[in-house]
Amino acid sequence: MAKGSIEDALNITKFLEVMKEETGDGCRIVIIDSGIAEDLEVDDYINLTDESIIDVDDHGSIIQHIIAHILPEAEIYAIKIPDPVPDHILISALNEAMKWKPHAINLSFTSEIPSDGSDPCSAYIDYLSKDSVIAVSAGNGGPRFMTIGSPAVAKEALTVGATDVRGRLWVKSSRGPTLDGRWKPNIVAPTNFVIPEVDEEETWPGTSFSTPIATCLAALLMRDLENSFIARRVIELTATSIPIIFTGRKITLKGVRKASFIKKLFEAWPRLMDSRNLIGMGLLNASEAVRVADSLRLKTVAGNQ
Amino acid sequence: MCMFRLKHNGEYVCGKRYPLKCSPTICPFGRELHRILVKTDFKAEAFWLMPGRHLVSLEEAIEALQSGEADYVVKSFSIGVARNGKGKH
Repeated sequence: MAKGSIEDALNITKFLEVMKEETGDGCRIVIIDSGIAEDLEVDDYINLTDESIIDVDDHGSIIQHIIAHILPEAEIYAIKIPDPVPDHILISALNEAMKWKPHAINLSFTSEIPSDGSDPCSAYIDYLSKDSVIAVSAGNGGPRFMTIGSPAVAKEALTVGATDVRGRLWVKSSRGPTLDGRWKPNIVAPTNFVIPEVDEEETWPGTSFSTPIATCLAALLMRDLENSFIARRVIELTATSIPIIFTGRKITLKGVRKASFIKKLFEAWPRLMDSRNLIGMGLLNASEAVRVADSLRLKTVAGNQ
Repeated sequence: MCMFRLKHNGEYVCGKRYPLKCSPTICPFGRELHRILVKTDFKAEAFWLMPGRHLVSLEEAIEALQSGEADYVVKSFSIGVARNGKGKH
């Protein structure tokens, strides 16, 4: 997968233009993850483990660095959870997160357990999503289909897949549909980039690290629009369409085990071929999303006068 | 793996369509998906009564389904970080 800098990632998502005027002032973001960075501050935190709040897994700290790089003035709160996390602890973490009234929550934890969204984690995310945008990583199970599991399958979650820094779909980005046939992810964003504040050379691949870019955009829109449903729809509808480039061998069923079953599955479920199961509505476009949100907000203000 | 597939008294029953036994004909997701879902199974230590979200044992879950206290039952599971191609569960 192509590597690059965080500036490359922010360039293709048109975030650099947004960052000229936006610092995240007034945004509240909660990171539910493996802990916080030693060299960054948080406004508050909760530790649901019996270890130090400091991240030793290079996961939560990286996500915090990404968010702090994009929105340096945002209020950041953190909840440390174990890895792997039992579903009831995750539900507790989500419950605790809402006490800070966040505009957006970053959840770079997921599973490949197929679900129709009626499992408790997904159902709880649906319930909380009326008050906050919850961005969830799609997972890294691609190119297999139906690798987006709970809680990324939640109807109201903003599920984020991954591209490289050139905007090409990452082959391992998990794919839909959900068990009940809904397409997922919602959008894609770049991953595998250098964060100079952390290391000059190392990059971190995975939908874990594309999700915080979406979280930042969601926080800005939620702060200004105060409506999670509209914020998510704006992010989806302003996304940039990207080509789906398959690298490697041409895809064929010749010689594939159980080819007849796979063929029958595709015939019974043609929605498997829906491109939205790979890239959602497309590549996140921060500049366009903020422009549309501003226009909606101004219309609302004018209408109230 | 199916989060609704419950093993009780040596038999697999559907947590979404209790008391019907897990089979391709009754699977709410259809025959083709049933075949994929039952390919592997995972054991749960606890079970969720839904939609109320109460965590109970298998026996309590079955009783709740029988009494109608629960509409459906889901197996409890763990989730992991979405990093470096590792999709733990």
